[in-house]
Amino acid sequence: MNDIYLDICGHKLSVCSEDEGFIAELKDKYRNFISKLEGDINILVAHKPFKDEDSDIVVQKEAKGYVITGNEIEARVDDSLGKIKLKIPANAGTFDCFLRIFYSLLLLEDDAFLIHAAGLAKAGRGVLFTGPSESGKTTTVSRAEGLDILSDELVAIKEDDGQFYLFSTPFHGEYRGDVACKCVPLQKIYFLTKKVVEQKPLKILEVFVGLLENTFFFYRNKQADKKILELCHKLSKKVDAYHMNILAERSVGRLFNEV
Amino acid sequence: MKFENMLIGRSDQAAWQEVEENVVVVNSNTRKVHILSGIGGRIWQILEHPRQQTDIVNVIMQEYDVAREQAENDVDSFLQELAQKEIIKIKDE
Repeated sequence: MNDIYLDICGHKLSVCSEDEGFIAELKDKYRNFISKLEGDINILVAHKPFKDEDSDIVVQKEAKGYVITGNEIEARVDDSLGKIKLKIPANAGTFDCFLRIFYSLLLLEDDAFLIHAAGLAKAGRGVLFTGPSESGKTTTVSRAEGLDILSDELVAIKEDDGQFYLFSTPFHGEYRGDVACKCVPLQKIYFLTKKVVEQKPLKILEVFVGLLENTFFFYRNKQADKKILELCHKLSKKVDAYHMNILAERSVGRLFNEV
Repeated sequence: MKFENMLIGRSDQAAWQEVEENVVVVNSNTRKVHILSGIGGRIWQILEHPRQQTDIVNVIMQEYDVAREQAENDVDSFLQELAQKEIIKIKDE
């Protein structure tokens, strides 16, 4: 067996597979998140032939845990979210797809969630740039000279004692460079738009709905949604948010001077 | 859809949050977000316990000082909207 230890958003994982090439691919993909310590979340990966299936992802709760299926993924996750049996083709892309969905479940257990957003940091302060596909997340990252890149696609937001923190993730969009594996206090939120924007803080309702619409979550469950609603509501009251048209910004560095 | 003599309540799949003067409802099956403002938000509050349409109309007439006919039309059109969004459930009393 070959393995890799990862540390993502404060959770340590051990991933084990018989396929040496697969583990080597993971070591490259997750190079900024490799840990020397064995994880308390164990993912045992078995492989199956690639069939080029493009089916919807479904997350279902069963008596002893969760079952995640679709898009070449067959996973059984125990109730503690600590033991996972995963069957996928031997490619890092499918594993990454599974890991994003697994993390959307895992993070909710500790008052955190994933959101479609680019995350940037400087001097221990984090700024979130959220929006759907094609809104400019990767463009934002490409204009982040001198800033730490947390992701150009999905970042994690966690509440701790009334404060909100931004965690980097290895879940990228088109960006292929390195990311800083870190957690920083969240200071400001920008909603990416291609329209002309006014530089005034958004109302709580706009922020709340904007956050909700960009959360990354596949498990269709009322209790889980209630928790996401609660977190987004607290966040929308706590952190100032604005619209931003990235095409009108040469550099996003100036935004940090205003934080 | 007819609501007469039916018991109307919030769907088991609806999660919601009151935000300022509004109620934001998520249908957990579709993950769609719906914003209920004004009279819509108030009707959502009334539906905390399943009610008949006439009970809702009586509350709206009283609180918004509107004639029965207008209250009936407003409530009916709002309930139709909520039913279409699948965030209420309707059953025979």
